[in-house]
Amino acid sequence: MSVTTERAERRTVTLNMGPQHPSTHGVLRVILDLEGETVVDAQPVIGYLHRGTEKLAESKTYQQVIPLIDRLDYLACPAYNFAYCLAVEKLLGIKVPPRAQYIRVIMAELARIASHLIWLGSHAMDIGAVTVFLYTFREREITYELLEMVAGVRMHQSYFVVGGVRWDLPEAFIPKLKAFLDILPGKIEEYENLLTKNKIWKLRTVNVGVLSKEDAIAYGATGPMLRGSGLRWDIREVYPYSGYEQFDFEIPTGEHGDTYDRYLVRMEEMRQSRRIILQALEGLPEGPIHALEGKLFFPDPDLVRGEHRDMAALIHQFKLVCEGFHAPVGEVYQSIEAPKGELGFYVVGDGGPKPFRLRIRLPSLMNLQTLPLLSKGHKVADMAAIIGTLDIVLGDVDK
Amino acid sequence: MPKVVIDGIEIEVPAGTTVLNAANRIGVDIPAFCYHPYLKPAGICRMCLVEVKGAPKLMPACITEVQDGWEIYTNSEKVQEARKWLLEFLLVNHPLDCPVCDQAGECELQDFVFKYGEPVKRLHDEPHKYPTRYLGPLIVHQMSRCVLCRRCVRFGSEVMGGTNWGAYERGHRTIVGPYESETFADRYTFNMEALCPVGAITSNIYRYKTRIWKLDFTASVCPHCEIGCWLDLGQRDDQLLKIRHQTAYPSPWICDRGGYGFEFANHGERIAVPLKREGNKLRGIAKEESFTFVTERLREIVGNGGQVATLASPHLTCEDYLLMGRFMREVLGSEYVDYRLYGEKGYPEKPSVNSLEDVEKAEAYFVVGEDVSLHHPVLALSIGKGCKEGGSPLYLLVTADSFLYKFATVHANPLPGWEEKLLEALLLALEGKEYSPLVKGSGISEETVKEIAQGLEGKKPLLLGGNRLSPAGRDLLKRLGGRLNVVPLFLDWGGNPKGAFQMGFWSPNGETVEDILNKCVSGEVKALFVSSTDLFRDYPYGSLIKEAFSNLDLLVVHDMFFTETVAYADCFIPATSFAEDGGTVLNMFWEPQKRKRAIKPKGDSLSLWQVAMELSREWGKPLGDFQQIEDVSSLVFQELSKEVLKAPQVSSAKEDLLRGDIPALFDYPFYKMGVKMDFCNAFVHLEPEPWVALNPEHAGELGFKEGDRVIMESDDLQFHMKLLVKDEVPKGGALVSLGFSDFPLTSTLKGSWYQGIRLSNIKE
Repeated sequence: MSVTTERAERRTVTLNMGPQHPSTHGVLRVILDLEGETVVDAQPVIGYLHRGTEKLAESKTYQQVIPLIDRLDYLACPAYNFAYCLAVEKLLGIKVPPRAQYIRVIMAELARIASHLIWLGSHAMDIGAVTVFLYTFREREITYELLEMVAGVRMHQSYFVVGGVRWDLPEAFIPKLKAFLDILPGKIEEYENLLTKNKIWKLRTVNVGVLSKEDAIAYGATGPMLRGSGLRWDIREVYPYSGYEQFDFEIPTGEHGDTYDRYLVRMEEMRQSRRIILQALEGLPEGPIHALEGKLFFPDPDLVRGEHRDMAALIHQFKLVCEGFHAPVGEVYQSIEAPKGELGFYVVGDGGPKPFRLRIRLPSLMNLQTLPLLSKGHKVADMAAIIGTLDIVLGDVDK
Repeated sequence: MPKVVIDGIEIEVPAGTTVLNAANRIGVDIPAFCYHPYLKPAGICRMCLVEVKGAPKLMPACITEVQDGWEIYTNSEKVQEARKWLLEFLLVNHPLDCPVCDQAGECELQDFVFKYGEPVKRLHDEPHKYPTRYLGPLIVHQMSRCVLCRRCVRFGSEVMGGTNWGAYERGHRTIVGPYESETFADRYTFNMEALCPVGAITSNIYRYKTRIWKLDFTASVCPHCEIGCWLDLGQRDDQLLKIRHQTAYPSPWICDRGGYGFEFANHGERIAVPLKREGNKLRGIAKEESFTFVTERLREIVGNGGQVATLASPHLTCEDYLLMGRFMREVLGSEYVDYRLYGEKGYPEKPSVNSLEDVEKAEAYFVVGEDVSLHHPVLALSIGKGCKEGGSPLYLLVTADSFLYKFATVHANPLPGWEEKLLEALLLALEGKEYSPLVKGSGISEETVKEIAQGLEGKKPLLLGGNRLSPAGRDLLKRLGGRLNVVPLFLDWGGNPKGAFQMGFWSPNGETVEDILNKCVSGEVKALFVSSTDLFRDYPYGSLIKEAFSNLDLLVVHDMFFTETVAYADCFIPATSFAEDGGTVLNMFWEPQKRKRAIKPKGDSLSLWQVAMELSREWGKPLGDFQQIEDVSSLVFQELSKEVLKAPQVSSAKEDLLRGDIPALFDYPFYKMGVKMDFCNAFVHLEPEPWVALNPEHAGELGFKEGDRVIMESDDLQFHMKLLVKDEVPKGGALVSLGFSDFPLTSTLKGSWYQGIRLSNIKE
């Protein structure tokens, strides 16, 4: 009886959205409380893609954890490998050689472009602009071809290893990357022509999902979510890592903190990423690509078998495969600016070859917390725009 | 006390401490190959070089004693360079064997190269290769992998007092290995394999079985003798594959029986289902059916006034003895239980020393009545250490001693059967009385006896009474102890005789196994339980067993394999091995040790305590509701907390001397003494056939030579055997091997291990 009364007073309807829904970008489930068409409350329900990455990592050697990390944000794997490797390297107290640092920056920024292209395509399609999706996936294909050239696979590259990168860049990679960077500004302009001044786009995004600067800070939002609200905060600038201080780039910010501003921020970020890659290619140094050569990553296969086989290399190979390198006792936190925001790894070492504890601060998970706040008062139809503007990947939410 | 600074940490250590030991105290790790905490420092491998401030050269940490005020750096740039180069040299000739090497994963060379070495070597030359030597069924020696630390060689000379193992040739061409034969199995071989830091000496039993990190290790206690060495049983998929010994207690060393004598647990011939006799056949039945069958038959026999007896191996756990004893007394009302199945007649006595360390500290040693290294191998090493390092004299009055003679001051090697007479002579000599008539004919001169008496006079020696000593002999040794103001240490047969005794697993009226078997013959005992032993193999009175078995109404055998005893059984119940039961054992120092279950019991196998529990439940008088071994263990500990039980009086009648031409001692070869040695494949290869051994001189006189096939005749029985020539056999006597289950040598014996034999050539 009382339930009915209460309902009658609130006059809300509860509607379940997801976890199988094209606009939730994966297996996100949102429980909507609606008053007519208006959203009163939207509570995300997560965990449908939980794989226990943190716990799994405790039973794997430091190198074996990398493929698990790939599967967090599967749209920007290099960035995730990057953060994890930096954290373990911090625990080990080692410095990566400059060439490996530059290669890592190139790969991470390429991943940012790839990630933003997918976001743009699917975000626009969710709102109704299907054409953009077709255009962005055209360029996204090139980024994946580039990643494949380096790592051998399109997704889940596991190209970074603790102490450097798996192997050197192939010869054909740099010309192809340069060619892509040459056409990229024109393509971005093409997308902007389709959207930026488009009346429908503006109607659907301006003043939709407004996040004030204070709220953004209070909710721990990072990345474009934070910068769209007007705060100039980028880990690459405030806590530079892997030589980011050597590059010249701008940090775009928005003013109103609405969906449209975040759109503009991300579009500009792609251009800035292009700038960084160009600088990195310009100054790409020669030299080794592994720190502590042979002690952290497998030796050259030709040294392990075949004509030039070498006992010392064989022992290192054997120990790395069967036992892994030992990291000292200690705990570290290392964060980077991933495409979706601040990505941090907290690693506790107990002196053994496996992490004693691995804690991951995921940008999508944190940004998703703002969903109830952003969607309150909007129409149901705006949910697609708001979920899109969060730029979440469920692998990155559920661990 | 010198004060030194090691890597910035100040430490004060006693004078004479080496740099390596001082560093170990503060947790600074210095790598070394040749250093081993229980061998003397040698300074051979140069891996432990450290920098001392002010010294022009690096110093080997394992042999350099610290001096006051030294500043030592164990990880300076110079030291790191030295280590790198040393390892590079070691790898020059090292074969690329890691993928096929059993040591890989626990190899110190791998660990050090990975930790301190360069990932690439600079010299690329064809490595110097040596052939692999398959040194018998226990170990494989691969010289190419050797780093020449000489740990094995030093073990052979320092601990074993010399063996067929050494290092010859020079420099990097040094070759390590046996120099007399292509087989090596010398009782303590396991330690050499365990000491080897690399894969030069690896186990043949574990060869290519699995990787070391795939094994799960469980702490257990060796079942083969009463010293109670801690073992780590390595198990994978319920197969026992490898044994490790990683504690310094009771001794840092173990013997081959402990290290390699585990194969029977996985043996393919193990019977894992109960069997019931149907005419001439034994048929497999369900577990429940076996209990019903046994209980019904027992009810019948007990109802008709028949008695029931139990004979259980002395290698079982206290839990087994306690519950089986209670089942016999409380449920069946029988007192006929015993564990002394090797034919001994005395009972264990509380020892006078508390650990092997105490043994090492003794002022002098006097051993009588046992080849210690054969029956208590690790104890022999402790005596050897006391002699070698402590300088204590060792007096041996042992027939055919095969190991301790190396350390002996006086070695009296009497003819078989004379040990106790000579002990009496020794006592008389100490008292200053006439003793020469007692010595006559023993093969020992009066002077030798006198020498021993003089050596013992005024000292506080450790008197060791071996397991061959009869109650009369024990009394004599106690009298000797009384004169010298010491309490003798008596040794017993089996893995847990002290536990069986303390659990009261013996007849309170003092009946021996022989008495119980006689009662079977006379018809007083109608049903017999035999647990975990082949009486025909181990009990030295074969004809009596046969007679007893033929007069029984019911014989229930609880065992792992189909033995001669099982062939007479009416019902067979499968038994667990030591790796499957878990439980408490009481070692020779009267100290309880808990062994844990390492693998799942095979099939329907049950421990004896479980059998007792099931039968009592079936009978309708359950002993208690014990779900797991821990429930029984608490009862065992209650029993153990009680005073040592008082043994009944035993007759100390002296035994007759031997008939026949040649007095012979029947004893087990080393690799045959213990639990189920016939089912350890490696040991079967080491002792393939029974033999009779003579002194070389004696053999020459009789016209025999090593390897001859001879007929051994004893008590109207004839056996075709191999003749061996052994130095340790006293001239005029013989040593005959026991323990071959297909070869009923015990049928020539009459309750003692001595028998007169005749030898003749096989006529073509």
